Amino acid sequence: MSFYADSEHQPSAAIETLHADELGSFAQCGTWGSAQQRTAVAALARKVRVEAGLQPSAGDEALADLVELPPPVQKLVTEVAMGGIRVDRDFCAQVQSEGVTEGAYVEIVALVSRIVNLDVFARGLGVTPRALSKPNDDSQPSFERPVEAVDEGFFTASVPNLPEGGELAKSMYADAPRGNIWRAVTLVPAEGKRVIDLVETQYFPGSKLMDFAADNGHALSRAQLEAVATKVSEHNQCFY
Amino acid sequence: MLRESGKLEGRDYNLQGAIDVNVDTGLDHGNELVRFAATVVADDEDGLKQARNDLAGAAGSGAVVAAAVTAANFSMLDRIANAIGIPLDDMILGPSADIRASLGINAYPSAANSPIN
Repeated sequence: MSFYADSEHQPSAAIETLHADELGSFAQCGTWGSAQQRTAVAALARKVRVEAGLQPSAGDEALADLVELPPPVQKLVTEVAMGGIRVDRDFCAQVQSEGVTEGAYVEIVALVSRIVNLDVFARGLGVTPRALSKPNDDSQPSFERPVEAVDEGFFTASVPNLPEGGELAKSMYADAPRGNIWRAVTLVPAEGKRVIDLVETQYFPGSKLMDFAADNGHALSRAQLEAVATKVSEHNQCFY
Repeated sequence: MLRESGKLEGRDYNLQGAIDVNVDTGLDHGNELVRFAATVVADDEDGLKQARNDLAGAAGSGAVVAAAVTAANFSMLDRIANAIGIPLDDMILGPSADIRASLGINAYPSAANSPIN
């Protein structure tokens, strides 16, 4: 059975496959968080949004209590789940001063943003969010920070474009320079790669981003897609 | 992006329409698309249901999927951009100055992350 079989509006097989893989990723060990912590973060983001009336329940909010997430983590999850509008450099520094490492901060931002991606899509199709799985991975986070990561002026470090970013940059960005959003969460390369995969499948590949004649198989024109994007970004008060 | 897409199509879309559902963008099915985008991220279940039905009726089921995946994609990217504090890329900063001013985008809190002044 396909991932969105219950929807009247059927996405492509590529999106179904990617979203099924995305959902499974929360139950896997990450770079800075265990499978249990990552599942709890995703479930808490959902709980926050359900309580705000922004999405229906998938019935998995109890997974937020799998482990006790520290208060600064809960604060970060809550802010990002609601759009990240109030997050500024001071907020980021405060969360880190309360014990969330820079790498963990980036991984949590990516996890929350990716679960919201799945849930807004499900809501758009008119189906209930797909329920999170219980963690199925007992391995430990590597806490590995890429040596290529530098301060590019963002709140957190990132892997720069070539040549400074080296082989890691080449593996994520291919040979062309990529915009800031492409590099934003690459302090955690596994999360950076997931976000890039999502953007390339759901929107446009990096190489076609500024090619307004490019066709990525959408049923809407580029201008129509941009109208939707503009309204959503206005809601999230996103300057970028 | 919307303005540049319009240029390629030889059309001059009203960007205010992508913000205000009461303003016509000039896009085919523009009103249905913007209402869908407005409701899929808001706490308005009945409004979303109506918007989804209207969009499907006007532009087909594929349009609902494309609009939903675009809304999802930007819900993700907006959160990342806001929470990581990335500035607008130099190549976009200058050319978008007039649009940002006219649509009130410079007043967003995350504008502080870009050198706009």
